Amino acid sequence: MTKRRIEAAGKGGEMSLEERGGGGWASRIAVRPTRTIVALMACALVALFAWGAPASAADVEGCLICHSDPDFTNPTPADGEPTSLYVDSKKFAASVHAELPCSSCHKGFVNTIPAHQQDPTKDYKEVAIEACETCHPDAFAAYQTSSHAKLFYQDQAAPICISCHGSHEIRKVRLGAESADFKMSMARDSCGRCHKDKFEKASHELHFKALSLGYERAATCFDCHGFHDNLSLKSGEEQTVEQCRQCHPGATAGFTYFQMHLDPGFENAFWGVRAVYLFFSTLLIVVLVTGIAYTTVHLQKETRTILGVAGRGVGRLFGFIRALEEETVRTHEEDDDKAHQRPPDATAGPDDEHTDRGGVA
Amino acid sequence: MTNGTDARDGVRLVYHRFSAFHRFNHYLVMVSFFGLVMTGLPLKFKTSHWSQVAMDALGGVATAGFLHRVFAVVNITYFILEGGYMLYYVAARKGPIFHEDSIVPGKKDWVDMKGMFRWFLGKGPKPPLSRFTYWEKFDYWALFAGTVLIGGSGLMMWFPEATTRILPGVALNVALVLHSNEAFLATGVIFIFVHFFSAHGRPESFPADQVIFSGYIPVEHYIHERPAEYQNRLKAGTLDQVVRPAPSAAKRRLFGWVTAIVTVFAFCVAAYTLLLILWPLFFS
Repeated sequence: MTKRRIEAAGKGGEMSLEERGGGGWASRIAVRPTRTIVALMACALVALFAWGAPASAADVEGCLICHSDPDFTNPTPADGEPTSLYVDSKKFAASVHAELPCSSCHKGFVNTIPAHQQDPTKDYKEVAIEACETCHPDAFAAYQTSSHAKLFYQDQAAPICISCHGSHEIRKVRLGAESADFKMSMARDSCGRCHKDKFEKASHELHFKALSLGYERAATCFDCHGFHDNLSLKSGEEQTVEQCRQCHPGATAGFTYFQMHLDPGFENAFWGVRAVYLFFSTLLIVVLVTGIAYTTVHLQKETRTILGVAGRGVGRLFGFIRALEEETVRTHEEDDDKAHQRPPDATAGPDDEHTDRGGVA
Repeated sequence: MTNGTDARDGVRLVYHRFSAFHRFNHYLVMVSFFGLVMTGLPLKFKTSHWSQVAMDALGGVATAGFLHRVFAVVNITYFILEGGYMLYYVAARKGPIFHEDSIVPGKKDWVDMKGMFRWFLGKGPKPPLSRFTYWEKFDYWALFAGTVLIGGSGLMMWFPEATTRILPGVALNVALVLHSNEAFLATGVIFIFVHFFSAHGRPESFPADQVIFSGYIPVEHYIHERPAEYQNRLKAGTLDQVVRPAPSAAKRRLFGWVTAIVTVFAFCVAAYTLLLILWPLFFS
């Protein structure tokens, strides 16, 4: 499932690459320059007036004049749906890279229209990871050791930097002091986009519960699995112990046998965990139902007895309020007579009963 | 409240049911239980909007966690005190152990229960109840067992590294499930539905039975509530051990105020609990 998703994403990307740099494009423009110019003018108009696009401070190359239009797609897709070429200029302006010119990441792209890429044979994914590597060599080195990278060099469908981090909307984060919201959103929107089942299971787990309630020290995916090396952690292994020790300094090998990513019904858990869960769930329902039923019956009986009234039919169990109203009316009619018969007489515990029972019968 | 009745009726004798030690222990149970529920529930029911509100009000997850451990210490304190008292009671032969007026469940509880069910159905008189009724014994022993389970699993999770030096890590999974479920059971069932209603919600004591706060009830109420114990003591000639002159009016007023304040607080905690539990059931 996960793999298919990534493949689909990869396919979409490749398609856009073809369109962007494809020879068909260039030749068509050479033939019909007037139409292209009109189209571009229309783009500029839309961008400037209809959308009032706030060009980024760093948009010295003017890319956002066209690319901030949400409807800006590749005009001539070779196959299938047109690919969006839209960049949300507001999100980009708020991103950590807002001050950088577009070409600092889009390497080998120049301001020619319509084909920007100088070397059209270069895959966009290669461009993307090269772009990140330039400024983030350490993260890139760590990524190189990861299973994501190993997979990527095999079939190109595996995640690269932008698969998790996004591209134009990468937020400002203080490393080591991430907010709980950020950690949660990374888990949900980055890791959880492909590892959906793992995320859903983890979200029932104590670390994530605390995190979702705002405890920023609670671990999210990357706290255990690493930022870029995405470690595969197995119980009992030295590496796992190391990872646990970041927060639990006294952790030993035994500690790592704590089971993570369990489902809410504990079906994938150690049988003892599931047994305890099932036992207490059953106990809870049994005691709750019995407790409520018993207490209701007991209380209404005590109440009727102390008020000296009796219900009828189902009212014997639940209808004491109506019976109480009737009793009040009767008491008024019979003057004070009844009231004198029933003071809360200390010695009359069991005897009291027969009055009550008489009422019922 | 019974207090008001005393003053009006000029009651002179009271039945002394709970010693200062037991009342103090009940305060500890109350404080620790309310504190633990208030700081623990939001984490269990984190899907509820109110859990976030409660957590923020408590000062965040870290503060709530700290307070939870403070109340856990109070919990352990009463458990040790009560356990110690039990041992002392048995060792010093302070009173009967296997007797219908002791806290140990016995044959009379079964007979009483059958009698009560017959009474509910209108097929017989209310059975004469002893010093501790079967539902009071259930309350007491359920709390005792629950404290062992919840407290034990809680300590395991408080010191996970120490625990996993002895046990495999999966023991913490078990502890977590046990703690969460048993605590929910204790919260929802024992306290809200059973204890609050059967001990404090009965018509003669609603909204709170003052006896656990003051230690005494008017002797007339005692004879009505615990006829079997009264008869036993009458026969054995030990009534003078428990029947005493009523405390001064000032003391009675004080107990009345304490009961009132505690009652209001208990209702608030119950409302808080029900909000956190019921909200996700209907609006999640």
